[in-house]
Amino acid sequence: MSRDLFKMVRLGLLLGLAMALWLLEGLLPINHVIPGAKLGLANVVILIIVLRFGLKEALMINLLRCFIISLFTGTTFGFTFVLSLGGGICAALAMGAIGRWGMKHVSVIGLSIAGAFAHNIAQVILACIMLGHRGILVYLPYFLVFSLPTGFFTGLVTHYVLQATGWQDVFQSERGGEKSA
Amino acid sequence: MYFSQKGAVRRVRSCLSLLKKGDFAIMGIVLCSVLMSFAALNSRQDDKQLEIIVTINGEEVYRQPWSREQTYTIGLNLPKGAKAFLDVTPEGVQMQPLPFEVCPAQICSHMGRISKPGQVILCVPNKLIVEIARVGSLQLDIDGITE
Repeated sequence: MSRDLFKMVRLGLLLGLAMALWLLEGLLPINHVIPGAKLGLANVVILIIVLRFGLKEALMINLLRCFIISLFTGTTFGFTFVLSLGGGICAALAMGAIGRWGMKHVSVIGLSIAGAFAHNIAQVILACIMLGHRGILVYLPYFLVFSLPTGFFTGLVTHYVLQATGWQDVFQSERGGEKSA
Repeated sequence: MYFSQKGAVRRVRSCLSLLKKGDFAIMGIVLCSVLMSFAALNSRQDDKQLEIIVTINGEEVYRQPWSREQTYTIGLNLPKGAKAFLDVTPEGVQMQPLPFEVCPAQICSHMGRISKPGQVILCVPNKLIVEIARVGSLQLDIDGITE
């Protein structure tokens, strides 16, 4: 019982952290250098959840994050909400799948790049479907190119976070003795 | 010194040493898809044939190939009754200043000359869009992007 409670509290704290990072990210001027580009700092939290808890929890926290942020910005069920939700789900699925079965061959950085990649592809395709105009596809290569450096950066940040908190060693015990990185 | 060149090299190396085999595979997949999507989107743009497209109030009113050879003026009927004139020269396309009654800000004529594919002149009060595009290429939905 207390184990479940610990898990819930930790996930709640991580959810708050993800939203705080999202706010912090909005303050960074990278958006003005490259229009539409984002660092994806909130992805650090999702990566940690993928590694520590697993796919289901990461998906859940990402959904909650998208929903609560849309309540903050007042875009619930709007265009940007669907974009961020679709991107978040796809990123969590990709990272969760790799984190579950491929951590022997992939480091945190590769995991993060895969997540950024899935996020960007999903957003561009969703924007295409929702606007009913395939002209948006013109942006696809640029978004995908940006997923490399941003994914690398968030992966590196996650690596240092894991190192600093010493969470690297507790993966096994947290996931019920399941074999992981 | 903390920020010595040697230290920087070591730092970069320690970052790169984190990478495993699968990471390079993922990066390779990303790069391949970038190249493939780029190639797929640009494959039909070899002929360099450009066209001028004018849209007023969401309706396409003019679409003609642009050869960069002659100089002429296109007259356009605006919804408010006035007429807009578009100067086409071998160097580019430019809006003539509109009367102040229909276009108070005069932004469209101040936008100057456009000549490259993808460039756009916008006149918001008259819902006028002048666009240069490659023949047969994908066109951007301006309303969608600025939303």
